[in-house]
Amino acid sequence: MQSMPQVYLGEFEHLILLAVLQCGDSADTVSVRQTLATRAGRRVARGALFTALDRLETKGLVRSRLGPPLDERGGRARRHYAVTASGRQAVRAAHAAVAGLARGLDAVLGRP
Amino acid sequence: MNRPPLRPPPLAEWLARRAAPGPDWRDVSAGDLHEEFLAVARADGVRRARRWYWRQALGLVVEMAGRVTRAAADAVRSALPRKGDQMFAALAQELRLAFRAMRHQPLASGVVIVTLALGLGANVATFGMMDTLVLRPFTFPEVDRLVMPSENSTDDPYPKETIAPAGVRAYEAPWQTLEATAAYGWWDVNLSGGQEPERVLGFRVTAAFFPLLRTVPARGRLLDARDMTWGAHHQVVISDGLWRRRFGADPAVVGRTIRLDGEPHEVVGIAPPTFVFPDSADIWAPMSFSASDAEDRSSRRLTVFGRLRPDVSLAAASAEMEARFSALETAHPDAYRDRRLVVRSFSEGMIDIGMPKVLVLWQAAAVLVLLIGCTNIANLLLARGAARQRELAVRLAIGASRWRVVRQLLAESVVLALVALPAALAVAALVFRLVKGAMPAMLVRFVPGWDRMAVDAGLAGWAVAAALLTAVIFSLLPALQSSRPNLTGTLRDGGRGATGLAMRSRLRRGLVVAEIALALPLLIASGLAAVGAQRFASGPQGYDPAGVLRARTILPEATHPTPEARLQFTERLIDAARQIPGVELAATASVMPTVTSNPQRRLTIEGKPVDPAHSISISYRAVSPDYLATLRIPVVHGRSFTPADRGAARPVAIVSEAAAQRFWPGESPLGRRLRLGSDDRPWLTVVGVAGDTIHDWFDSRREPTAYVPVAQAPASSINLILRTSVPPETVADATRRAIASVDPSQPAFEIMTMTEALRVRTTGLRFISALMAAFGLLALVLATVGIYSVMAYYVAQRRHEMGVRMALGASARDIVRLTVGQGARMAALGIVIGLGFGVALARVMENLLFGVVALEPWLFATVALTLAAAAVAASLLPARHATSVDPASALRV
Repeated sequence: MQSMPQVYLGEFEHLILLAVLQCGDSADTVSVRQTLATRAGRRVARGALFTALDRLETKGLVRSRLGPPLDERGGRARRHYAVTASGRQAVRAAHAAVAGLARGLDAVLGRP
Repeated sequence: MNRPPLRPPPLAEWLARRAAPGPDWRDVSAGDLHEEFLAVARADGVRRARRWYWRQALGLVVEMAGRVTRAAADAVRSALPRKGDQMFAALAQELRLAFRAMRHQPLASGVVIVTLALGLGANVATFGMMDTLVLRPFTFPEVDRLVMPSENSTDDPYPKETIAPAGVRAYEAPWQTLEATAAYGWWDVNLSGGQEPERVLGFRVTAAFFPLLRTVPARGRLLDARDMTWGAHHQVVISDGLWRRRFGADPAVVGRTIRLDGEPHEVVGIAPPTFVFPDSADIWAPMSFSASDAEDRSSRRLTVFGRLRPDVSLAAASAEMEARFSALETAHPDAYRDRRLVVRSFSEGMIDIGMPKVLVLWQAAAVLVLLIGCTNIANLLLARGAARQRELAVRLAIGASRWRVVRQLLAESVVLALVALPAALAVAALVFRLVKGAMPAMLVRFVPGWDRMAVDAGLAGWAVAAALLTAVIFSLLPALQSSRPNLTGTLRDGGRGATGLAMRSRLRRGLVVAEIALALPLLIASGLAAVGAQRFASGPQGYDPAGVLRARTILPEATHPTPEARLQFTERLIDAARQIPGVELAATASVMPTVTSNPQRRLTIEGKPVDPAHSISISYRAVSPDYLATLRIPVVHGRSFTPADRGAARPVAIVSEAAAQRFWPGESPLGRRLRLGSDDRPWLTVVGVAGDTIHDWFDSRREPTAYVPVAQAPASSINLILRTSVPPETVADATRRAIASVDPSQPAFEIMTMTEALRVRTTGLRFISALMAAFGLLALVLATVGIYSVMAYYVAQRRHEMGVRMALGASARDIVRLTVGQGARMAALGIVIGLGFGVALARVMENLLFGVVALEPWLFATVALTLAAAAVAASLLPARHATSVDPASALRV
């Protein structure tokens, strides 16, 4: 039996976690922001993304590391992100909650 | 060919870094932007990519402003006690109400905050400059205990370089009130050996120099008494900057021998990283005098300073120095004729003499801008007060005291000012950055403290105080006005009607008049500075600076000891320069226009009596035959020099027109003879008269000048001047190589086009004019906005009246005339008052800035007309609006 998740995910945080997972190994601030734009249609302000990532890291849902300095970034490093185990758990729990609440509403929501 | 890597706009990049959510994010954020910038540039081109970058940077700034405001609001809210002391509770409620009021009127609050950010930001920046550059330019321990005596001549207030070697020794004797005195003097040298030779900034200093400044060496030792022995004085201390730049921070350089001006010197130590006194020095060498030099009382080229003993006042030290000076005066009356002792504090004596005045001017301009901003805000608050008349009347009616209402309105203003504060600090930081970037390194060395200008805690504290004061200034009048108890009238007719309206609108019109009266002098001042700068850089110079490259090199005594050696170098250099493709004419001069030094020689004219008390001096230049042709200085009479004017031939000279008019009024100087310098110098025959040139716009225009052929008076200071058929900057490298080909140990420096040299020389003035222009523009915009808002309000208030007028047959023209006439009347009154201020300010500027002419009638007229036009334009829009009033609907209300 799984324990209840300790952390509650905001909608924005939820989307970011999914975007990081989508990007896989190559997840960094640029690709996450692009994924949010292309896949979720959300154009996210840069500062908002950064502060949200900081918040997720403090909660232990993602971890980050700095890459090597790159010429195409003016000699600056990329910050790469990966979702931690508790991050994945939080996403699962959020999905379970959504699925539980949505059950039986297919007719109302017009889903196939 | 290798293209330089594409880079984002630097200012936008700096902004973006600053606006990142935290220091950790700066690099990541800038890196993201860089990466995406390159992608956008590939897809849409560089221009679009730059615009894109700016949008992103500004987006980050807007985000930051939101974050800061939220954080500030949270902090204030949580810091305020909800219970407890009644007064605090009241204040807390005041501020909570104020925050709510601010959020309910986002547009008005936004306008107020932006206005305040600009006005306060300008003030914070100018105050920061004043603080760093004038009040605390140096950071030596206990710098306020340092004093600086100077032996000024009656007509020269400049405090540095006033003391001769014999004077230095006289001041070195022990003092009752001073710990000691130290002296220093210019000693710029050629550093050769190893890599490319370099001209380095050096000073000779006495043994007490480092101890008095409380400096300790970073490595090795500093100079002391044992280094000062004449003949054995070949030890130097080098700066941290030179150590890193030239010697790759190699610790083993201490003890090594380097070649300075061709002579070996031992490096005994390295100064600490922040120590670059005076004037960004790179090398310090011992000041040592030969027996004859030690008695020299005439070459006043040294600067002396001392340190007060503990618990001794400046007055006591001044008295002791005064006494010693009197003794010197009595003993050597000739050397001290027309000299007096001035004792200043170290900081006062060391900074540029014009700097405090210029900063006071800027500060005054910034205060004016802020006051204009305050008038606008006061106007806005008055309008808001009118809209809230009913709310306030109800509060007063149910028992609130007038003070209570005033307090609430004040609290609202304070909150606005505090919210604007971070933006104001950002504006100040931006100003510092722009200002630092705009100053060429050549000049920065003469401005102590320039590199330290920054927004720090002290400045932020000052800004808070300024913001609070500002809030009181702009809100007191509207607050008192709005809280005037006039209950029955207001409550009865629902806030509309004539009660209090006349009084209120008189106040508002008065504010606009004041605003124009403040803006006008500011515009005049910025116009004067701009005209002066323009005239300096682009006005007639007496020569043609376009298409000319210049370079400098200075021959040391040790490597070129004889006149023959110096002449040989000069002539070989001219030959080498002529070989450079694209060079049409090449010449040298010991001194040329735009070079800071302007040496003088004593002038004796044959057949004219000599007054020993008042010797005449004349500017002196040793030039090669093609000098006048290369700079296109016209030969007005007689001839130019030729290659035949050399050695054993008759010694000749050319004088400038100003010299001809002054020394041979009404007659031709051709064939006359003159002598330059001491009595053992030969008589020179004048063979030509050259056109006047402007050597330096600040203090030497149309100066009497004598030219002599360099072949008859070889000089060690060499300015190479090339007139080119190609863009002059393209031959700079070839010029450097030409100098090296004649003597590889000779460094070339200040290689630049004449146009660039003129620009650098006028940097200070252009700087002043650019800042004044920014202030002027801000004032104009604010004043226009002010007039517009008052006129718009006036029209809104009189909608009913306009409707009646139109219903009774007034045409649209009449309505426009009525409204615009109102605006024009306010403008006219403001302009008349402002012209008075303007004339006064122009007089101040005339004394402050060389080359500014106070009464330029056309400028005054232009500025007055501009303001009048702005006023009319600002009232036209509301006037058009007034004509669109539908009489029926206006009357029905």
